[in-house]
Amino acid sequence: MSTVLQHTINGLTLGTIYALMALGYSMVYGVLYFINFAHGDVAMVGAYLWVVVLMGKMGLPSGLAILLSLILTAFIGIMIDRIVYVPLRRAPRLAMIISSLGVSMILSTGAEVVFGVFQQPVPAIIPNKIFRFGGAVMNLHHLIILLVSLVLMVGLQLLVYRTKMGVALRAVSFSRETAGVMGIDTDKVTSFAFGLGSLLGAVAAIMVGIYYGSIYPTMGATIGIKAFTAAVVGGIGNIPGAMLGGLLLGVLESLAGAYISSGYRNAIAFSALVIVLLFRPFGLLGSTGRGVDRA
Amino acid sequence: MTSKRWQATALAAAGLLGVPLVVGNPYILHVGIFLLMYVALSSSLNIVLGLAGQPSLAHATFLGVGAYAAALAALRLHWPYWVNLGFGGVTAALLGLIVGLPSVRVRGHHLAIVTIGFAQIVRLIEINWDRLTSGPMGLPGIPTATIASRPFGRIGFYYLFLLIAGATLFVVNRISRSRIGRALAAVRDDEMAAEALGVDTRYYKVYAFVISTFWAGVCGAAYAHYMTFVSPDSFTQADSTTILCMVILGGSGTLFGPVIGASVLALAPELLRFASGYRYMLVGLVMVVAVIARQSGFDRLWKRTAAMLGRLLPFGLRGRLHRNG
Repeated sequence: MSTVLQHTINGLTLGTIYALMALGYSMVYGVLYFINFAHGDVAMVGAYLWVVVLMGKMGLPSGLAILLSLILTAFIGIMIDRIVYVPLRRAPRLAMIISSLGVSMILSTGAEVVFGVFQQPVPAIIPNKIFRFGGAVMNLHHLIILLVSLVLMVGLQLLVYRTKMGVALRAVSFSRETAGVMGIDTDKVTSFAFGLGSLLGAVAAIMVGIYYGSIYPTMGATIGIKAFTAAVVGGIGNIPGAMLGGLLLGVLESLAGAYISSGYRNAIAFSALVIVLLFRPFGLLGSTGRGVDRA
Repeated sequence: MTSKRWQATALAAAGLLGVPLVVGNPYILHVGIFLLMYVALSSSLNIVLGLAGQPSLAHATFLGVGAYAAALAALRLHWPYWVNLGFGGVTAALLGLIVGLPSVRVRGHHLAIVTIGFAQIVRLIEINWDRLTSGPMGLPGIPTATIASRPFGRIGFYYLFLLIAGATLFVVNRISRSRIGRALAAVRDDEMAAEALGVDTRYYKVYAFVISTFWAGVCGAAYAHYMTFVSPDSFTQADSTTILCMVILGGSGTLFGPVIGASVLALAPELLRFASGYRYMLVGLVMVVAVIARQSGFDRLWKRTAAMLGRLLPFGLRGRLHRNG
């Protein structure tokens, strides 16, 4: 029993990371209706900025470095939107998808050239402290990852439903044209979605670095594909859906790896998700309504 | 086809047939072989993506399935290469049938996820089913193709891939001009309307997947005999994405769009070799700039060039099957 609990805890920790990353896909999808394949790579750049540039080269303390790298990553996300996607606002979605794949290629190979293809060790910034309860073991960094993710997700939910920017976001998601007519600066709202999505992605990538103790240039693609899957399975464009999808994927992966086969853990997780989509073709919390239908 | 187009086709075919006679450089022939392989792959993906409008992010997986099928048939059963070409195609098509079936229920981005999930599952089987696939080590020592007990060599493989690419284009052309092509176009443009008009949309969607993956499998089998080695790393998600980009960048749903896309994206890394580590960055840049340029203002220029090429090329871009977009 305790091992089931243990694997569930590991899965939840991993799942919250996927969920944070999935939120970035979902937010951009919410305002522009396309999957931004560069999201994972932007997040990876955030993790590299933190470890290599701000902490390594400039020697800043880890906390300040995290804060700065998050701001910089948000800025990078906004700049990518301004440079690459703004000229494509009226283009077919396929054009945007291709250019996002191009950006992804530029960022991941750029990171390989600048930082090297090898794994970059991440300094242990969280002391190794172990909590025991109910026969399961929980490391301090598991706890911090879970807490930070929860706080961010609740914060995002409040932001979307309780603030003016949140209303604008939902309005643009519902109808870009009408929102524009009502005096909402749709480009500003889109930039905000990109900035916040990239920031959340960077948090996720930094957490992956802390969790596994290393980062590498293709990590964006590796985590990105899972987060993207989580977002779609939860119901893309839907914020609680992205969280649910992420948690589900993390727990499934962890339990399948422990009890069925470690080599096939991802295969089992993906098969389960395909089955979910067969029964719920628009994702767990997705509706057949507007937005999803435009996919 | 008008007689003028026949002439153009014959001219292009003669030109491509003559390449190995003129070019002696093995490196250039090797690039040519891969270019033809990518032409065949992007054209076959075009059947699902361009004609039927269904996203597939697993095309390289079917290439891999065909390659593994041919490699195993050659190594374990000692089948000759020409049987393996068909065997690779049929095996890939059977899996294509399995992937195509969810398209009956699942659409758009969600279908893209199903294909990604499938690709991951197949890749993990290739890595983990040691006894069959020998895992990450791959399968070395696949016998090369022979003709009259003499090995093919690069020139032979050039012609083999030329044949496959030509056959794929021929199939795309025939399908798009037939009743099936019109049914697929109806499914792509408005599935509900198509169904209302009596098109069996389920049948045609699955049909598109099966035909498309068959040709990817044939390519895979030829690849296995050419490289004499297959491993899970040869058929990754990134390869599937590249093939997808080739189709979309060139113009999905058109006959020659994927050919142009494949030429650009397969030759770019070779032409950019001088940039060494930076070259895939430049390839990414080419993709972004091409899309933006095409969208803003370049559009007319592109159309004019396309019309001009249409007069020069066989079949012509005018044979495009629908508005782009």
